[in-house]
Amino acid sequence: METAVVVLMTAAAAVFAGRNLLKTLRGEDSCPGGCSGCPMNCSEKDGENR
Amino acid sequence: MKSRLTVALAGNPNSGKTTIFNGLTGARQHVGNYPGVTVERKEGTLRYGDTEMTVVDLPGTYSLTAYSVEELVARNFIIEEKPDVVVDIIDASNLERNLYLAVQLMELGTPLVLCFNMSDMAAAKGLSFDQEKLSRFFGAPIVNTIGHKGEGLKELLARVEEVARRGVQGPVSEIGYGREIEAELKTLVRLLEEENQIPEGYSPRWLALKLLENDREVGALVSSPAIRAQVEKSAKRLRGILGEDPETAIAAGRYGFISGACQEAAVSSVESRHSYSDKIDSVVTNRVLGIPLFLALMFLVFHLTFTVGDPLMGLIETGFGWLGDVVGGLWPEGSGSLLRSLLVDGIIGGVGGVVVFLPNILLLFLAISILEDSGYMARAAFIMDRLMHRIGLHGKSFIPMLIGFGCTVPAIMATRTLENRRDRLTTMMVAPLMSCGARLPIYSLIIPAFFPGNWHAPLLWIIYVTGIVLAILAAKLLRSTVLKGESAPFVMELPPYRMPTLKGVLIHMWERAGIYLKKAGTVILGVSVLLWALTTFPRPSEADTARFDAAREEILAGGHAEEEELLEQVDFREAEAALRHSWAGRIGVMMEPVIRPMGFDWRIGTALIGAFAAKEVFVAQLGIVYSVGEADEDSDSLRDKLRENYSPLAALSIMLFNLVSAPCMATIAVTRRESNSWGWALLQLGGLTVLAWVVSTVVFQGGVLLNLGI
Repeated sequence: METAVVVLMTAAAAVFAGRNLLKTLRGEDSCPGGCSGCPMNCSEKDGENR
Repeated sequence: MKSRLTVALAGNPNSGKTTIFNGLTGARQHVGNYPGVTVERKEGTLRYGDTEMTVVDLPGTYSLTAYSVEELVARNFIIEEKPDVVVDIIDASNLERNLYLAVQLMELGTPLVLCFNMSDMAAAKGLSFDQEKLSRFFGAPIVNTIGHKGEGLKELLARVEEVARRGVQGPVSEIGYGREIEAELKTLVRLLEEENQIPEGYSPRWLALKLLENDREVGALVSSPAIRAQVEKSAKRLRGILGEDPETAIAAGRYGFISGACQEAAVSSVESRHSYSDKIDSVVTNRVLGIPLFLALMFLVFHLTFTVGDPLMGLIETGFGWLGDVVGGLWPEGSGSLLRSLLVDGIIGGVGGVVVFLPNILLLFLAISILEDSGYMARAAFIMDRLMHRIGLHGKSFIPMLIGFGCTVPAIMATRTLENRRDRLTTMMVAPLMSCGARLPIYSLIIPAFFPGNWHAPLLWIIYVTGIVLAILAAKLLRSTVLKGESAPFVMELPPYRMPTLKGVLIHMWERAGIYLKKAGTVILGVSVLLWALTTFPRPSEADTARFDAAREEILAGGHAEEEELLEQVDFREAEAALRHSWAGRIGVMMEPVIRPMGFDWRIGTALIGAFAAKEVFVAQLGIVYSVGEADEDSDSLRDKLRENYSPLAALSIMLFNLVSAPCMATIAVTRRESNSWGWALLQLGGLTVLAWVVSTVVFQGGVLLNLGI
């Protein structure tokens, strides 16, 4: 039972990390946005375009 | 009168254009891209009476030349898509500087409304103009607004509708460029008409001006050899008479118009006032004091990060230690349960090891936030301008670098503000050398582990300054070799100083904490579980396990005085063998010959692999490696274990390697996107990795030779 849980969690982590890697390499979602002073205004949290 | 209007918002950066856009359109916005370029296109809609307006937020620009993608996009949108009205958002407290764009919009012949934004700040400075006169000079109504309070927006919309109803603007002032330039313009206009070389939507005089200004985009529109020859002839003649390029003379003509118009319309003079900002700037941007003051401020920031951050870190560390004990206690002592190991060593050891540095991260961002919101960071770029010029860049390149202190990804995206592609590529290549926030947990882990208290802040300061120096040197190298060429002229904004609001600063910190914890709970959690698996499997063979059991039996049978110590050593050797046997261990051992010259061992090697996903994972992986190998329930902290296994010199080498090497795969990915080339992205990855190896090896081997810190 424990082994099954460990295998499931590891597999889920592998899928998540793999998807994240692909998204990043494709240039999607590499920036979380909202960083102090960011001039890009990619997210509405950033406020004014500098 | 049309019931649908398209309104374009133009204006300088920092003029409050986006605040006005947000105020007009609210949530009814859509973000896309202009075709073929990485410039964002923001559109929104609003209803004013019976009229539906589509508002387009053009990129912030200082003028409408062909130097930058943003300027071209703004200009082409106005010419080709012919908005019904263009609203020029002007910072009323910096009128003369902002009117340069207004003059160019006026010359384009576009229906124009001038929005004097930040009118409260202008009033506070004691600035006032006869707006009716100015309005007549520019042929455009003037509306006063205070964007961040939403004041004046209704009147703005009323004027927009009025101008749209009126159609093309009435007679406006034509800028007189002087006898010689006017003569050449007349010749070119005549030739353009004769040769039928006036594309639809363009005014002949504007085309002639742009040809004389050597505008490449306009030059490409005109195919007639006769016109090209005349442009060259006119430019040569003007250069001879005026002693300067036509482009410079035309710009001077525009500024002359602005200066004259403002003097005619001024009720109070700008020059006679000294604002607080100017007084502060006389110290902050002083030739002698500027850079030392900047370096001193950086030092203060790091000092605060440690003195205030460390006690808070201790609390979080204790909390995670307790959590590990509670979860571990659910199994009997000495249990070899895989699930227990995953939860305690993998997740709590890995993720906890990163979350523990939250106070340091928050303090650093608090400091950056205060320095930016107050307006100081723009001065820092201004101060570095002189130095930047010596390496073939200019101060504007320092702004993306400053952003890199937070995160390299937006720093690379911020290079979009650089007009010249060579400047942009150079800054992109070296931005990762500015030590980002993700590396801070590494320094915060290592520095207190190896160096005495009074060295903490200075050492962190040295690391950051080393990054800045390496960035400057690397930029110099690039600008002398693969990216040789001229820099474009530019204008540097110095927004006025203002007191950061407590609310604004706390909101920034709260957002930052959320981002950090989200990253810890997602990417770092996922990678930690994977790294735990890589560090745990494959399990040691039965034969190996039997060998260690036999060694224990021998010790127990021998009745040694130091029985407990000997048993601990066996446990440690067994744990280390298990680690070496695992996938991560094998990769680390394979890497060891390459990383040994830097003073690293295979454990550091495994941590470096994971760090490519996110730099903080370096800390997480060290936590896993030293926790999975931990047989003793009363485990020492990670810092203690690092101290047992490495020297201060090796620690310094580790920090330098992490400083110089590429921060993470997100950096490489965004470099590829922004440079539109895998070549540049891979050059960045390869170049930084090699540089990191060289720097760390030189420092470590040099230290060994000189017998320092080993």
